[in-house]
Formats: sequence, C-alpha cells, structure tokens
Amino acid sequence: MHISGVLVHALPEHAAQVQEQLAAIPGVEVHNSDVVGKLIVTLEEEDEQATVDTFGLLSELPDVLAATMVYHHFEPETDSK
Amino acid sequence: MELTRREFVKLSAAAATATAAGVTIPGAQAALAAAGDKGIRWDKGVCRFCGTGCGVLVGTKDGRVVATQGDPDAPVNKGLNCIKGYFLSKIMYGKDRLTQPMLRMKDGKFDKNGEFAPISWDQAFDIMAEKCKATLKAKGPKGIGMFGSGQWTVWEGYAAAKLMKAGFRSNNIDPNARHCMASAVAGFMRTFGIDEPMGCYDDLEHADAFVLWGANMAEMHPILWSRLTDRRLTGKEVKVAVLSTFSHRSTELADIEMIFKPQSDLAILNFISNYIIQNNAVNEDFVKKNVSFKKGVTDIGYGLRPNHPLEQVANNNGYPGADGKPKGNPGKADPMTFDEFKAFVSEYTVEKASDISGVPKEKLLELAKIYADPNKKVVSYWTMGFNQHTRGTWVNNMIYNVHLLVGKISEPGNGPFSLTGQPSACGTAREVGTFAHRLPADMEVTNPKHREATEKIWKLPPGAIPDWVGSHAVKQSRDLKDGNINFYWTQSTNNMQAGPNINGEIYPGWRNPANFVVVTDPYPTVSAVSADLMLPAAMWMEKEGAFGNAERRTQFWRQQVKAPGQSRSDLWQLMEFAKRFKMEEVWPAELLDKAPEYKGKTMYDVLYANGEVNKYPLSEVQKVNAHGIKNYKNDESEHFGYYVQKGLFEEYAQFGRGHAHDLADFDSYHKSRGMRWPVVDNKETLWRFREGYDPYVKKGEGIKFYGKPDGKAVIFALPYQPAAEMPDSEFDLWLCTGRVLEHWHTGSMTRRVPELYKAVPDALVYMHPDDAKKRGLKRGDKVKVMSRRGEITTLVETRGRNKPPVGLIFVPFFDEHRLVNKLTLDATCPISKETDFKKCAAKIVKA
Amino acid sequence: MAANTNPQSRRQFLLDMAKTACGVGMFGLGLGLYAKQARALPPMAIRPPGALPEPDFQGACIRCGMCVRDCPYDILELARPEDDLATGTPYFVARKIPCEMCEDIPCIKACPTGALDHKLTDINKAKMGLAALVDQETCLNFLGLRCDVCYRVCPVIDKAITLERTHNVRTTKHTMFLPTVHSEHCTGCGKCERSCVLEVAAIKVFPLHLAQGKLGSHYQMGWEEKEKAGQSLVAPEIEHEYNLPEGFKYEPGRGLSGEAVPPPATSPGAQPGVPQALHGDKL
Repeated sequence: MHISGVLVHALPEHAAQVQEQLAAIPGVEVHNSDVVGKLIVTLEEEDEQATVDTFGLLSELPDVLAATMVYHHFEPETDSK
Repeated sequence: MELTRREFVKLSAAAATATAAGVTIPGAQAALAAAGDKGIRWDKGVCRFCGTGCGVLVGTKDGRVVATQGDPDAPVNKGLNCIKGYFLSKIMYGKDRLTQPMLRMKDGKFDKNGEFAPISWDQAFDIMAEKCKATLKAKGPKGIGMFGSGQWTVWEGYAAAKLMKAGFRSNNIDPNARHCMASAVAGFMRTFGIDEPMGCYDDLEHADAFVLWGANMAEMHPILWSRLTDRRLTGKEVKVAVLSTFSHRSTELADIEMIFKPQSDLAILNFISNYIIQNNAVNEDFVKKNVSFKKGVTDIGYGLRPNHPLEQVANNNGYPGADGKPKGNPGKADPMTFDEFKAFVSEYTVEKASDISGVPKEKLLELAKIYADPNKKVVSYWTMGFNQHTRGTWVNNMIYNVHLLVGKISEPGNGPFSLTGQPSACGTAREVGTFAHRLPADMEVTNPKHREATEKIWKLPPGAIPDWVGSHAVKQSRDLKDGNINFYWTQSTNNMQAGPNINGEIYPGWRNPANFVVVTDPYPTVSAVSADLMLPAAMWMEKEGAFGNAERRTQFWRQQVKAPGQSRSDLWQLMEFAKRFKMEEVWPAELLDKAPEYKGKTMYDVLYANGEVNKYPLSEVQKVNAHGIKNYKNDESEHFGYYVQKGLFEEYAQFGRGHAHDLADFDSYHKSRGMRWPVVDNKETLWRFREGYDPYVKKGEGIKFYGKPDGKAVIFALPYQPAAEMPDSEFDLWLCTGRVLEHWHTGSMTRRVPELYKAVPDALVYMHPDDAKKRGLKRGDKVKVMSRRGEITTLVETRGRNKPPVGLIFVPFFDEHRLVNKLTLDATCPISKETDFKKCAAKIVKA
Repeated sequence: MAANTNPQSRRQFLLDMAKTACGVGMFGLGLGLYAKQARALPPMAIRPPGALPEPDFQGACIRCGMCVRDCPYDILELARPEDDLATGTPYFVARKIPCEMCEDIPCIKACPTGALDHKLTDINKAKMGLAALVDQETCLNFLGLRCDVCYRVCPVIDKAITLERTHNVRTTKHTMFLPTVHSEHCTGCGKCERSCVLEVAAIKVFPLHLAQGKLGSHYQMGWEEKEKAGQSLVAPEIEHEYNLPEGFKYEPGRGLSGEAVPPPATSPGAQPGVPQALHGDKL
C-alpha cells in the first residue's frame, strides 16, 4: 500500500467545495484541520503511479491554490492489527 | 482503541502533514498515541530537574516507565525538553538503586566504623528512634537536625516541617534550597515583605531587553533560554545583556557582554541607580507612591565561624560578642529619604564602577541606559551568581532598587525575576516553610502571631512551636562537627558533595563518633555512603507528587510505578518514624498538660491522624484521579488508609488561602497543567502587585506592594564590599563552581544515565590559555586544584563551553570523583546564610 | 581525487589479497561470522592527525605502531587483518573513542616516516575528517529540544560547530538551535559523534573526501568574492533616483524606509512600511 499525506491550500471561502470535490475522488480522505483553507488530505493507492496521478488530479482542482506532498509511506500489503 | 495497520499509517500521514503545515487535526494525536504505543499508558507529569517546571508525559508499561515525551500542552515548554528531560525515563533505573535500609554494622550491631549491611525497616526505625531519643534526652530538641530539599514534593516538605517544628519542637530543619535560593528569599522579604517573583515566564514574550546577572540560562534553564532567544530573534530591536565573571554559552547571544571582577556586581548596580537618578530617569510618580528608602547596616561579616578574624572585627554579624549578647543584626536597616539615597549612590560614578568591575565605561553606560529608557521593557534574570554571594541578600535588594527607581516591575515584560535551580525550591522549600526560620506561607518562627496562627491550624497547644531560629545548612554542618547536633537526617539531597568546605566542616561532622547520621536517597551518593544509615527512597514517578516552579506554578503528578524493593517515599518514612514516639517523649509535661487529649498518643496521631490530614477516605484516591488512571492507587494512601497527599495539601493550603498565597483545591491540580498562585476563584495570577492582574490589589490602588504594612517596597542603600577570600600571591586564582547542562546538581541521577555520562564524563577545570601557559600547563594536563581547604585532581580544559578570563577558573560540581566542594569556603551571606560557591582563592599545579 | 586513480602499490594489492584469502579461509573454518563482523567495522575509520591523503599514507606508513604507542589516551589502534583497512595502519573510531587533540601532537612526533605529516604543528589545523550532521530527523535539536551536546563538547566550539538559531514554528515561542558544522574549523576529532546521546549518532565524522561536497568551479559566491576584493568586482553602481511620495526614502538593498514611513497600520491586512495608498483589495 502507498499512503501519502498531502497539504492542500484552498481559498478559505471555497474550502468547503474543495473538500467535497476531494472527498469524491476514490482513495482520498480529508481530515479537518483547525485552520480554514488548509486541508490535510491522505491518499491511499496501490502503486506509485496511481499516487502521482491522483496527486496531479487534486492539485488541478478549481480553487486549489497549492497541493504539497508531505509524507509518503509504502509497505507491502498486510492488514494486520 | 485498535486500528488496522492501514488506518494507523493513514493517521500518521495525516498527523505528519498537519505538523508540517502548523495545523492540528482534532483528536488525531490522541488516537495515534493510543494506537501507536500499544500497552503504554500515558499520564501527565513534571520534569524533576531544574526549576523551569517543564511538563512531560510519562509512558508506563508493565509497571515500568518506558518512555517520556515533552508535554505539547504544557504552557512552559510546549512539548520540548532539554537533554536531561529527554532521558527522564532512565533516571529511576540506575543499576545501583538502593532497595533496602543499610546500616553500618559490626558483629550484628550498629557500629560507626562498621560496614554497611542490609536491615529491615523495623530495625532501621529502631536504631533511629533509639539514637534520636537518646539525643533528645541529653540535649533536647536543639540536639537533632534535619536537612531537606527543594526536591521534596510539597507534601513531603510539609510533613517534614510539621514533624520537626511541631512534633520534635526543633527548628533545626533547613532545605538544601539554603545553598540555592536563600538570598533570593531574603531579598524578596526585605524589599517586598512577601516571597517569590511578581512576574511569570510570559515576561519572556513581552520584554524589549533581558539582563542576565550571574545566570547562565543557556545551560541551566535551556528551555526558557530558547524562549528568550526566540524573543531576541523575532522581536523588534530586542537586546540581551549578559553579566558574568566568565564567558559562557549565554554570552554568545549577548548584545552586551560584561565580564566583571567577582563581587563587583554590587558596584555596577549602585552605578545604575546613580545613573538613573543623575539622568532624571526616576519614575517619580511611582517612587513617591510605592517606595520607601532604607539604609542597611554594613559591618555584617561573612557568615564564617565566629572565631574567624573577619567575624571578630565585624560589629553587625549577630554573633555573640564579648558580653555574650549578639553583635547587632546584619538585617537591620533604618529609614532614609530619597535625597539621602541619592547622595549615597552618587559616589558610584561610571569611572568608579568601571574601576572596581573592570568593565569598560561604554558598556556600563549602555546597560544603564537600558534600565533608564522609559520606553524599554526590561526583565532581569538571575540565579546563583547573585544568590551564592556573601552579599547575596544585598545584591538581590539592589536589583530591585534599579527596577523600583524606574517603576519597571509587576507588568508584562517588566520586572526582576529570580530563577530557581530545583523543581520545587519555590513550591516546597519556600512556600511550605522548611527553612529554619520559617513557617508556611512566608510566616516566621520568631513572630508570636505567626506561631499562634500555625498552632491553630495544626491543632497544637499554645507555645508548642519553638520561638528560636534553628540552625541553617552551614550551621548544621558546624553543629555536627562541634557535637551540638547528634542526630541528623537528610532527605533528597547530597550535602557531602554539594555543601561547602567538605574537608573542614561536613565530613568531620558526619563522622564525629558522637553523631548518628541518616541519609534517605534512591542512590548510594557520596552523602549516603558517608552516613551511618542509608534509607532507600522512592523517587519521582514512584510516588504521587507536587512541585512548585519558579513562576509560582504548582504542578501535580500521579504515582505511575512501584518503587523497587523496599524503597519508600520520604513521606512514608517521615510519617512512619513519627509512630515511634509517644508525645510524652517529645513534649514537656507542661505543654502536654495544655492538650491532655494528646497524652498517650503518638506523634503520628497528633501530627497526621489529626482529623485534617486523615480527612479524605481511601475511596477519594480513585475518585479524584479517575480521569487520569483507572483504579488509581498510591502507596502511601494504601499504607496509611486515607488519601494522605490530599489531606496534607488541604491542611497546608489553609495557611495561604486568604493571605495572598492562595492555592486552588487539590483535585483541580490533578486535572490541570499547573496553576500560578495566588489562585482566587479559580483564576491564576500572572503578575502580582498590580491592579487588574492581582486580586489582592483593590480597584483604584494601581500598584500595591501589600507584603509591607504600608504597601510600599523598600529601596536599600548598600555599598560595595570585597569578597571574603580573594586571590593572593599563593592562591592566585578565583575559583568559581557551577553546573553543566548535561548534569543536574551532584549528578546522582544524570551520571547514571549512560548517554549523559558519556557526553560529559568528568568535571574539568576550565581556565584561560594564558593562565595555563604561565603555569607550564597545556590542555589535557592532569593538575591539582588546591585551596586552603583541600585539593582535587582533574584535567585542564582551555577550550570549550566556558571561557574564563585570566585569573579565574571554573570547576563544575557534578562529579563525585572530583569533589570541588572540598575547596570551597563556607562563607555565607550573613543575612540569608547562603554559601558563596562562586568565590574563593585557589591555585593550580601540575599533578 | 576520484578522477586521479592512483595505482595501488603491489604490496597493498598483496595485502588485500591476503585479507580476502584469510576471510575465505576463516569462512571455511566456520569463522565466517567473525569475518563478517569485522567487515562491519566503520568502513571510514579515521586516520590520526596529519595523515597524508589515503593512497600516499598507505605507501608511507611502515606499520611500525609508534603513533599508537605514543598516543597518551590509547585512542589509536592498528588495523588487524580482518579489518576493512590496510593491515597494520593506525586509525580510530570516533564513536568509540575520539581524538583528544593534544597540543603537542605526540602521534605525529612519533611517526618516523612522515606518513603523519610533521609539518602539522598546530592541532587546530588538523583535518582528520569532517563532522556531518547526517540525520536531521533524529537530531534532538532539529526537533526543538535543547540537547546541543555535540556543540558544547566541541573543542573548537563556536567555530567548528555553531548553533544556528531559527524560530520554532510549532511552539511559536521557542528557538531551535541547529548544530551546524563548518569545515574550515572542524578537525574531525570526533568528540561530537562520540557524545551524541542518541542510540545511533546523528552527527558523524567521515574522512574528508566522503563528507565534503564541492562546488562547481564555474560558479563563485558573489558576496564572498566582493568581500575578498574589498569592493564590487564591477565598477560601482550609479546613483539611482526614484519616484516616491513626499518624505519617503528608498535605498538599494534596504527598500523603503525613513521617518515618514507610517507606523504599522492597524487595519487588517495593512503591511507596515507600505503607504496606505498602496493598499487595496487587490495587489
């Protein structure tokens, strides 16, 4: 599994819409932060290419000012506790 | 809470991203903490090293503290620690922990010259009680003594003070804070009539200038230093001035570095006062309303033994004179006018100050201007450079002079602030009143009203508390040597390493065949192995505790783990020992007649099972702490059958409530990250003595120094006087002692952390390369450092963190293999009785 | 150095061969594990002060062990056959025991051949290696803590290692003190690596060729060149004049300044030092 943490800057007044659009993308989850306009997003993908693609997708969404990859974690699939 | 690996990684990714973005995701950290460290229980605690009072989270697993972290929610440190705090989880697990009482024995019996052998607690208390009772019989209460600590928890200090002052009726109890904070205490009391700083750490974010007077904050208060540095870097035109007798890590940030000759800080302070007056920078309105002036007596000696030549010629040292009456009183001061004060300091011109101190005139003027500029907010910080000073009380008074003249006090960013070196020097040693002259809440044993108030709260008959000032730390050592104190108990302190003049005074006293010395400590310290009986102590997270830091913040923690073997907390030891005495054995019949209900009872019954201390049932322990630890217990409460800590704390808190020392209720401290007293109506006090900030200042009063009956703080006229011992042709160097960041005090904990030991294994002698060259020495050479009192062998360091000027050497005191206190002089401030560990004469020769 | 492949001496070749053979031999004897551990020794063991560049050093060193004998702190060791190092040559491992930087450098004095360069008489000029803070993720000071042990134990403190101060954005009120090594002054003594309190040191000493980067010769640092020259390399700039509202000053390099600059405005969004007139909804 490839899990990434992405910081998405959106115009504060459009943050809600951006959040909706992001949430609609498969594998993307938005975590609410305490600052409006700074969205903490995690991507969950099967491989590197998919991660890159999704990352490209969300950085091109309207009203997204910037998307920054902060954290990337890769490990073979195991779903143990 | 269980997470799948995928969920865990995702949460980690989100948390890391949030951290990078400087935002937080509500709940993420907690969920991560709960899931990430399976089986680790986290609870809040306090670092047990210096007086900063950094909050830590303590992780416990399988009955062992396995991890700590800086508490990100602690306002003092926001998750940061210094390197000692980083290794807190290791301090309890040194390989040589004491785990059972050990007595010097020969042929199965106590023998002063015997070898240490394990005994049971029963046997330990047997021999202690025997020796104590014999002493009481022979010498009365003045024959016993106790030396305590600013590392005692609040209730330990309180239980000890009560045991000595009410139970044994002996004021011969003193804390090691005498070596550390006594001059600050005496300074506060003399100037303001109430102890402890008016400001708080938030001053760090509000000041325009910081002046360090004999404080190496960069190493000794590392987290506060990083706040100060941040202010310096991010604030507009913030200046830092560092005054010291040698260059160190704090001078590196200094805009104004002033290396002055030892003792000349007195002259510099008087010069600043003079400068302020001469340049019409006095805040006249403030001074007229809030300040009175006094002239102190000057011929006060140096706190040496009465037969010392310097004491024979001193007429105000308070020692018995030829007629047997005390020669004056070193603390005496008479009223004077502003104009008289002005005339008094007028001789301290910049030329004279520069002459005495060796500091260039321009620098002195630059510093004086900072204080004089009405638009600059200034905080002055000091620690041992001021306090460990034969004129320690004066120099504390004199920094207040400066702040009071310009009215820069008691408001955000403006104020004098005495930093503390121990985690509870304030909370325990000072507030609880474990000094030989004090009672709780700044009261004093010599004041009949204070004794009466104390006797009332303690439910004692009138006259129970003795009216004489007990022996202070240095006097205790002398009393032991002279055979005046024969039974001596020390807890949480290591005076055989930290006290002055070990060879001349301390060691002979402890080994005096007439004396029985008991040391309670977690480790076999130099003190423990010099004693007759070692008692193993529970430490830090092995007991429920409370500390009070330098900014009046009281902080609690819960017991996290059991102490090893038979180790017991100081509190348990004090209370158990009290059971060994019937009141008839400690109180005279006429006193007991005034409280017949105490007849036949034990000291434990009267002091602790008194209806107050034992008021809270055992069930409260769980109830109060349910939010922190489920089914929480603590060892003392389990043993004595009631919530001991709560009972002691609530009884103690009665002293301060309503008297400007208000503590909140016990339960709320277990929930909060500490609160700064006075806490009135659940509101903390950040700045004292100012209307709006301090609930004790009424509307319309503006400023009120309510510690003094007239509401006015005192400016003292005091002169520059030389040190007790100065370099001469034979002992040609000043010797200054102190600390390093990596080790705390005598190193009994930090030297047992392998990483810290490796980082700084030995105490070196720091000296100027020219001084080394002059003596044919080079870096790394083995040398003998000698004074009139002893010698140690160590290695020369001419580089590195400390850069002494020519003529001065610095040796840290953490290293038990190089006891630099064999060399130091037991001269004290005659008012505060605090030793000057910063100045004596020494020489160096090749070993 | 890499470009200039210095042919190793035949002697070294044989030695290395012998070493391999020895390893193989031991493997055959069931001592493979031992050989493997030996190879796990730091491949960049540090040479004593004044050591010639590695190929020359190996040529000049006669493996006499005199430097080891005269080291007062017993720091130096001679490489054993199983070590990943020319057998019999002296080295030390900083994490184990660092060089004490004796003022009189007895190891060099002892060297009969000049493998340790006798021209080095000031230990401060030694270049045994170079410290590098290799892991910023675990370095406690990079996390905002106050460790800085490496800094304080540095014999060349404030020169070889400095603490660079930056604002701690997370706590908002603390400073981070970032240990920073300066190659000009670092002697490679290894005290920092030795005293790093982490389980694995975050700061390590490497031989110079491994630790040091090299700027391309096609680029020079303008500010340094200017300082060296004492003036602009290109003739001084002309005086400029600017269109400015009355009372304003504009200086190259400093920007807008002067008495007339309004105090920090109170309206939200207003920027200090920028005239009110320039504020608008859009920039």
